[in-house]
Amino acid sequence: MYSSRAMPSPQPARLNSWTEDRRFFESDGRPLYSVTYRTQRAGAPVVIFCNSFSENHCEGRAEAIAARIIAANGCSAFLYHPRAHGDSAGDLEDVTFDDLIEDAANAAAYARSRTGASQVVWVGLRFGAIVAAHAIRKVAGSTGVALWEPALSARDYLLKAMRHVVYHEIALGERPSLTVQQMSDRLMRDGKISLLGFDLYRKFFESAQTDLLDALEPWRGPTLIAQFQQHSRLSRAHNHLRETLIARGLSVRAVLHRGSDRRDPWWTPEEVARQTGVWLDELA
Amino acid sequence: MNWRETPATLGRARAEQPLVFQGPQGALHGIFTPPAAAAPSARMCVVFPGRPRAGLRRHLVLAARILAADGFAALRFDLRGRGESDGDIERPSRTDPLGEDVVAAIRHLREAHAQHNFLLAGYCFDALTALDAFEHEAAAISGVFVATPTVLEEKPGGSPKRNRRLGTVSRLRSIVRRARPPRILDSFGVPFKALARSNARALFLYADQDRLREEFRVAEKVLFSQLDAEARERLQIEIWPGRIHTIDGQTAVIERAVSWLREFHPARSDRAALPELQREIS
Repeated sequence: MYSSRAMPSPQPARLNSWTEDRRFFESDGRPLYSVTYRTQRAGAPVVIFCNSFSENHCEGRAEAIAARIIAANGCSAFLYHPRAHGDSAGDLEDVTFDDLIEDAANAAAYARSRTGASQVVWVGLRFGAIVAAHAIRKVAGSTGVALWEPALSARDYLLKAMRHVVYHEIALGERPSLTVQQMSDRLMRDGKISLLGFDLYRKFFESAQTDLLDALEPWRGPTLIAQFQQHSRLSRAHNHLRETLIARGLSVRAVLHRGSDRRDPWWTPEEVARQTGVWLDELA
Repeated sequence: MNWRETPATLGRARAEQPLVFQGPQGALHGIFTPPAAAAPSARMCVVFPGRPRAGLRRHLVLAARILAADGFAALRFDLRGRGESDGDIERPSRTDPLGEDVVAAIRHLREAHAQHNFLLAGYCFDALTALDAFEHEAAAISGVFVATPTVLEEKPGGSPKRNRRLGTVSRLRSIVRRARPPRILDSFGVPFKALARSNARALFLYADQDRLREEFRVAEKVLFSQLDAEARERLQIEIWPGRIHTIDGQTAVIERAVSWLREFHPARSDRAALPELQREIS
């Protein structure tokens, strides 16, 4: 089933009260920043957002907006910054992919303790979709996963981040200083390269050798795919993801989020958050 | 500069307190970093307005912790419409800096955290926003680090994208308009005059290959030239070679912000020697 931004919500909007609580929690001996949006709805899961890797300003705001909409819809929500991200402690130089999964699992334990929820629904954004897919294997009581503009391969996601440097330089009217291959070579040689707004370290690059579909192999729960693109249909990659999961016997909902006024769809996540809320209601 | 986490900065991370305070368009969210008790107190609070508050490469997070380990208090916060703060998201506008948000932060820190002496730092639009706070809180601000904000009402030469959209008559009007002497933004000029009247120090940082350097030349000619000797000594200018108004340029800018802010520490007996980069300094 497809639903789009123009489609009216099948459920009447209702507003529940919630509280917001910002605290640091411990993961692997360091403080991580979190926000708990706590509601009183009995039996509702807590929705945990796994953010993408390193810089992306629009997504952080999208998470904050979406968490409030989901809380207003009756489910507690939980945001956190993994180590070396946002307001949390840690150095990106030391981070591995497994560290991000460990942070997600610790976030789930903390979120449950703060909300009293026993079940967890994951919302993974871009690279965070792969983290969430791994976390559901570690966290018992994971009952759903929403993949927002999911990255399908960790390696491809990071190579794409290198490609963005090339596009950026071209957009400035400059000749690209390095090809993607040259950036990869430099990463291997020097242990670090500078990308747009963040440094990528060889340690992380080598640790991130995973695909979303592989990570979701044991998963049989309800799944939502939300595409944040201008296109009027699912991209080939997202459609492949959807069809593969359906072939595995999963219940899959796809949502197209095209944004408005030619703005980046990540700036206006309200409708996709409402659609996620409707999907959560149906899970209940 | 070492951006790696140290035991001292990890200690400051552990002490951080999420803050929420009321801005003109709703709640503003930030993180307050208390000064290290073991360090000699600077008795000053550094305020970093951000879009969002972490800054690129988390420089504002790390800068706040580095300064707090030295004895400064620090606040980094999301300007309205960004990060966790309320408000509609808007494109940064050279005519509408968000100084009221910085003023709200200063007043909250004064009332809730007993902070009375402030240092501000900003890059690009955030610098214009920091400067904009002078109209209302000049007496409480000891220094402002202003990196590469806009100065003029229009970009020199106009906006190529906008010019393409104009019809012939509009384009001719635009050419006539551009033939007039460039006008300094009220959002730059008015707070600049408040800064000049205050006792605060300032560092204006630009780079000679950035287009904004051309705009700043007008400020030098029209505003700085009018300053008396006392004010001229307080308001420093650094012009670096190359470009800083770029994604890659920000690291060196924030490093300079940290080194300049550290000069305000009362325990510092001598002013730091300037960095090794060859810079034109007036």
